[in-house]
Amino acid sequence: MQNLLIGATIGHAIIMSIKTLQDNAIGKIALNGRFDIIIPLALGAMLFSRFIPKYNWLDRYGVGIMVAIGASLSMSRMVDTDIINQITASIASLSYGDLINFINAIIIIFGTTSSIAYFIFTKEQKGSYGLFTRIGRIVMMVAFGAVFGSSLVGRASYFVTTISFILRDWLGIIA
Amino acid sequence: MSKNNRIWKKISKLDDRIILALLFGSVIVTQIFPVGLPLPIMDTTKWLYDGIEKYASPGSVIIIDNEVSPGLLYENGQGSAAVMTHIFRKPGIKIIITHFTPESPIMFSKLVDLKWLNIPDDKKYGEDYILMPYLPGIETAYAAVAKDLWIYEKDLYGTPLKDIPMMNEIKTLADVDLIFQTTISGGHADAAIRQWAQTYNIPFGWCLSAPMLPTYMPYVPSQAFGAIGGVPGGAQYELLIKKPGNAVSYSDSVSLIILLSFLMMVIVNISEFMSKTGGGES
Repeated sequence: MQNLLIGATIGHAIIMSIKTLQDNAIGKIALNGRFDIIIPLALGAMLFSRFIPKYNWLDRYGVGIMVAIGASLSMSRMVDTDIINQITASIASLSYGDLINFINAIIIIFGTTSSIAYFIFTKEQKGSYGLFTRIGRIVMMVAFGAVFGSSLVGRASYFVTTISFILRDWLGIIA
Repeated sequence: MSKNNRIWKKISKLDDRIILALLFGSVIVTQIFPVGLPLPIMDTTKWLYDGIEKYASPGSVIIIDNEVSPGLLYENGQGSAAVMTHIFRKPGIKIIITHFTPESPIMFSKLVDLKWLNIPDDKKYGEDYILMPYLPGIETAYAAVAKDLWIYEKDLYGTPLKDIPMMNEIKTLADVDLIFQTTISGGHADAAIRQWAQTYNIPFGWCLSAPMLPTYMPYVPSQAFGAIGGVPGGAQYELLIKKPGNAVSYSDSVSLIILLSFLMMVIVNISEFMSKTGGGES
């Protein structure tokens, strides 16, 4: 049963890939005369050269281009989404909402800065600074606990929905 | 060794099969006899609902990035369907449904077949909503679609976009007013927030799996106006749109399992402590 599921999934993915290649590359070259598409098509084909030991160096060109485009696209935005906007949101949260939100924002800012301070290894962590970084470590533990708890909820959901699918939708034992 | 100590030791070494049988039994009992445990609405769920109420106004263009996967259909499918149902209920909107996972176009039909997603009769394909085919590449694909929605050329069924009336005035992501993404993949979530929401400053909402939610919480509400996660999030959203479905019925069982797991953790930790310290020894 497991083999059947994996086989069906891979089979579907292969067919989808062939269809995508047909629609977005071969079809456009043949029907629309888009010969510029031959370049990415050739780079893609080079990826398969790793199966031929004599020519496996060719796949570096395809991989190199893919990594370069992927990294440039993601890293250029990552600075905004993961650093600047996170800092801005943390500070901005101080200025809106009621007293509870204000206290919440203070805790978030304190927790964030103390967690970051924990990873500054050029300054010895002792005295009041050491206490500050120890608080940061506790904050991180709380965060990991929240992730674990949520993961438990997720696994419980998988369990419940699978049991329910078998008993209700498949076997029809429960209404 | 005292009798009490032996009992604590026995509890701490409880057979896994007994725990599994307990969990299995609790699922069956709560599925047959729903307990109706309280289901409070989380802030993030409410924010998602309010955001859709605010941004899905008549005349707006909405992208639903549907990345529902068969493996976790029952995990985040219900939440996705609840939010999509909410969006489809809105009058005078145009909806573009995109797919960046090979199996997700099939899963959209599956949501409709299972009657989890209700598309109102007045919503016509090609006039009010359109399904786009699978596009590979994740980050590069998201970036390419953002620059030019006509990169697809054809819809999922092979109809050229120029023959689809609703696409006449929609060219790039700059023409879009709201994005809702449902995914269980961090790669898709990251790419959408980076290439779509952030670059074009478009209101963005999420339906994630439950384990993903804490990881993506720092983006809410500053970069994503709201988010739901897994069955609990789906159940809360079903209540908000007044369409209680499977997620609500599952939430009883999920809550009971969490409660049981928590109790077991406490009991086993106490028994482990007591058996090691010789607790109860007279």
